[in-house]
Amino acid sequence: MYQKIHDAIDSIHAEEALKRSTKAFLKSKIAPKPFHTKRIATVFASLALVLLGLGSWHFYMTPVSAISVDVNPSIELGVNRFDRVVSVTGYNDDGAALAASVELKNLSYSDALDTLMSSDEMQPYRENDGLVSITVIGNTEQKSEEMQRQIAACDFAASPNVEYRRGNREDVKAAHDAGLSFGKYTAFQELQALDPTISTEDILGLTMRQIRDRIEELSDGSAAFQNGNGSGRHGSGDGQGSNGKQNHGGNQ
Amino acid sequence: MRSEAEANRAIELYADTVRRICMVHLKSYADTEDIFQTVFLKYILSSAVFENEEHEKAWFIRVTINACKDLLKSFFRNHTVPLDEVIPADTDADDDHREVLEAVLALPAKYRDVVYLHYYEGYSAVEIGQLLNKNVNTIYTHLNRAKGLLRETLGGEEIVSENP
Repeated sequence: MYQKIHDAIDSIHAEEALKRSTKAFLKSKIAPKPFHTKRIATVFASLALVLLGLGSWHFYMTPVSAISVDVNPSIELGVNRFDRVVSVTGYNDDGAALAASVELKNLSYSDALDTLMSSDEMQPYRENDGLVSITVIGNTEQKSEEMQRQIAACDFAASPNVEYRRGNREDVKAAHDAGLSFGKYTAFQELQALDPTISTEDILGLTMRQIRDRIEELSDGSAAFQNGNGSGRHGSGDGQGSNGKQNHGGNQ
Repeated sequence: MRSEAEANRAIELYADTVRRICMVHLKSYADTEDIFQTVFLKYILSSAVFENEEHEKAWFIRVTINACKDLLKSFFRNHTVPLDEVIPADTDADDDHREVLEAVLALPAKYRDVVYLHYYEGYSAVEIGQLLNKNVNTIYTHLNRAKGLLRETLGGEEIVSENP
C-alpha cells in the first residue's frame, strides 16, 4: 500500500505546457530590463529635446545688440544674433506706451525701425521738428558698423532730423541703471558736461530736440565765452563728440 | 532577483513537486497555473540562500502548501471552483494509480498534506510537524486517521510503511 500510494503520486507530473507557460511568465517578470533601458532612453531623449528646444529658444531670445531710439519716447530694441528684434523696452511713459502699441517683435531690426517710425503713434513727435536719435550698440564694433549701414538704408532714414550714434555695453548698463535709454543717456552726459546741475529727472520729460537745443545753447555760450563767437546748429548730424562717443552724421 | 536560467532550473527540478501538491489541494487547472506562477515568482524574488537541494525542496513544498491554502481561503475561489479534471489528464496513471489517487483526494483536506509528505516525500512526523508548523502529535493523529480511511477505501490491505 505504501508503495502503491508512492507510485500513484509519482505518476503525477507537471504538464509541459504548464512548465512552458510558467517559464514564459517568469521571463516576462525577469526581463523588463530592455523595456526599462528603453524607457530611460526615451526619457533622456525627450529631456534632451526639451533642453535643445529651451536652449534654441533662449539662444533666439537673447539680445546681443540693441538699438536705442529717442525722440521724446525712449525705446530700446533688443536684437538677437539673427538680427531680429526680441525685446522692446520703453524707458519713459511715452516710450512704454509706444512699445505696447506697436508690434515690433520678431521683425528684422530694419523693418522694426521702419514700422516704428511710420506708426501713427510716432507721428506727433516727428511732425514738430522732432530730432530722432538712433544709437546702435552692436556686440562687436564690426557689428555696430554693419547695423548702422543697414539702418541708414532704411526708408525713414531719408528724412532729416535723424542722428546716429554708436555705443558700448558699459555705457548702456550705466544708462539703464540711471533709468534712461542709451540715446538719452549720452545726450544727458553731454548736457551734464556743460551744466553739472542737470539731473536725470530733469531730462526724462524732455524731447531729444529740447536736449540738443539746450546743449547747443550752452556750448554756444561756452564757445562764445572762450572764443567770442559760436554758431548754433540745428538738425540732424550735429552729434557732439563728448564722452569719447563716436558720432555720425545722419542723412540730410 | 534571480536570473532566467535559475528560474528555468528550478522549474525543471521542482515543477513535479509543486504539481503534486497542487493536485492534492486544488480542483482546477487554472488554479494550478496560478499557484505555479505564484510559487516560482516568489522563488525568483526571494533572496533565500539554500544549503542544499533538500533545503530548497522543503522551501518549495512549504511555499506551495501555503499558496494553495491562501488560494482556497479566498471566498471567491471557494464558491466558484469549476469541476474540471483534478487528476492531470496526461498523467501516466493506470487504473490502479487513479483509484489510489482518488482515495487520497477523497481524504479530508487536513490529512492530504501529511499523506503526501509522508508516503511520497518520505518525511517523518517530526519533519512534517516542522514543515507545517504543527504539533508532532497532531501529525501522528492525522497520519493514523488517514491510514485508517485509506485502508477502508482501498481494501483491507495493510499499509506497509515505516513507522512515522
